[in-house]
Amino acid sequence: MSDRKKAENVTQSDAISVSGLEKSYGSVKVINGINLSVSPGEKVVVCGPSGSGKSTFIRCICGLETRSAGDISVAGHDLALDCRNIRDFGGDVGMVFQHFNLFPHLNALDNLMLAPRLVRGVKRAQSRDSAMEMLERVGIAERAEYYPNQLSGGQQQRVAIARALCMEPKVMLFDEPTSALDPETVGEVLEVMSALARDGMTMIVVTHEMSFARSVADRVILMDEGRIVEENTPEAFFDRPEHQRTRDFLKKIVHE
Amino acid sequence: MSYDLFLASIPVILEGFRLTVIITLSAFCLGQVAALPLALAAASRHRALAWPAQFYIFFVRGSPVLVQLFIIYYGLGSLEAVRDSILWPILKEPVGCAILAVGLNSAAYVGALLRGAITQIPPGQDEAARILGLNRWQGLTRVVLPQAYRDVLPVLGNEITLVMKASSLASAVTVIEMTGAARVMVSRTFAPFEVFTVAGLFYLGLALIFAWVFRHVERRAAIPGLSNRDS
Repeated sequence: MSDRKKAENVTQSDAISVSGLEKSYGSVKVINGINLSVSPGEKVVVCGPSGSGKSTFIRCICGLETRSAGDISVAGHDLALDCRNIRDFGGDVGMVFQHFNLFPHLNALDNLMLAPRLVRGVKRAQSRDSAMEMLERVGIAERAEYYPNQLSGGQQQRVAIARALCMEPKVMLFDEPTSALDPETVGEVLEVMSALARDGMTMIVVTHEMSFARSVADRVILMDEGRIVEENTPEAFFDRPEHQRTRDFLKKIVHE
Repeated sequence: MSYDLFLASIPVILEGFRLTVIITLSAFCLGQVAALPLALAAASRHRALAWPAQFYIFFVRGSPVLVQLFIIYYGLGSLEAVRDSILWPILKEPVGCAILAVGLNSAAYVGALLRGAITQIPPGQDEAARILGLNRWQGLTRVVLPQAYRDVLPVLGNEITLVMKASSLASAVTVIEMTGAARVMVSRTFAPFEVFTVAGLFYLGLALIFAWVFRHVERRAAIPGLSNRDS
């Protein structure tokens, strides 16, 4: 194989690859055989009713949740079944949580600087510069010295996104990033996420924000009872879904 | 009641003051040092770690400090292995025994307290640390413990006062700290009211200093934006 061919193979390999994923709590199967490949730069939105396993699914991908069976490979790391090697990700996989999970005892800037300094050994001044840059990118540089509890939900979530970005992740996972927000701050977070998508970040987003899915996603997935029910382009997903289950779901979402 | 006896007992009790401070601070520090591994073990998912730590906490909190002090001072000295050990220079001194007894007692209380604070930290904190690539030690020292210690700080201020009060038990094993000095003075003057009142006031003054120091530390450590419990 020529070098060029090899390089091509590497770039074409999936950013995220999940096959035969299963997870049970006791006798209850919450994930029931999921296969998913995400190419570099691709944006996938996962939606579904509560209890459909979508949060568990994304938490399995980033290694925060162990699984019963299946193979997961993210950003070039093969995730062990017991997830013990999650720390080897070393920030390659960015995760944004529903409840932000910022470190409350550190101000915004220190939240961003902690991991690059500890994990990557970046020098203080340099880490500070890139953290400030990242805060500017999410439009919150003027609040760099504020502590999480002094910020609104939307601001906290933007800081949390910036914190993940500081580790230069190859993949970003979002677990209902706007579900805990006041309605008026949802927009600012979605804007940051859209900008990130435009910059070519590989993303899986669990969300009920259908307008975001329509405008940003390359693929939209509907999950129900631990399975992928429908997987489609956003146009097809919203305008001519293949499955009755998807039509029911969309109808409910619109009514809300 | 004699006003002169009040004044006369002040210098005598002051002589014990130094030892009271030494025992209190040493025991408190020993308690803090021992409490952290104890709390981590008790909070551990591994039973081989958690069980002994929880047993220690239960055992120590379930018996009087005075009894523990007697076990250490009178009991341990009767064991040959202890007399041969490198700890003997400490264990043969009543002051060392008092520090050990009160300190290990404090460790049990603070350990239980700290264990509670550690387990109360939302799991999302550890998850965020892990996904950012922090190792276990970094997650513990940079994320979990800074928050856990802030949570227990108001109670630690209370704990040092409890340790100070427990230090008076040292007088039961011949240590002439403040209470010991007061008892000697009483046996000479037969004026328990005056002498013990002076001793009590000294303890009170010391407690006020500790309270002031801890209030200061708490204010310094307070996280901006989080409501302060004591304000």
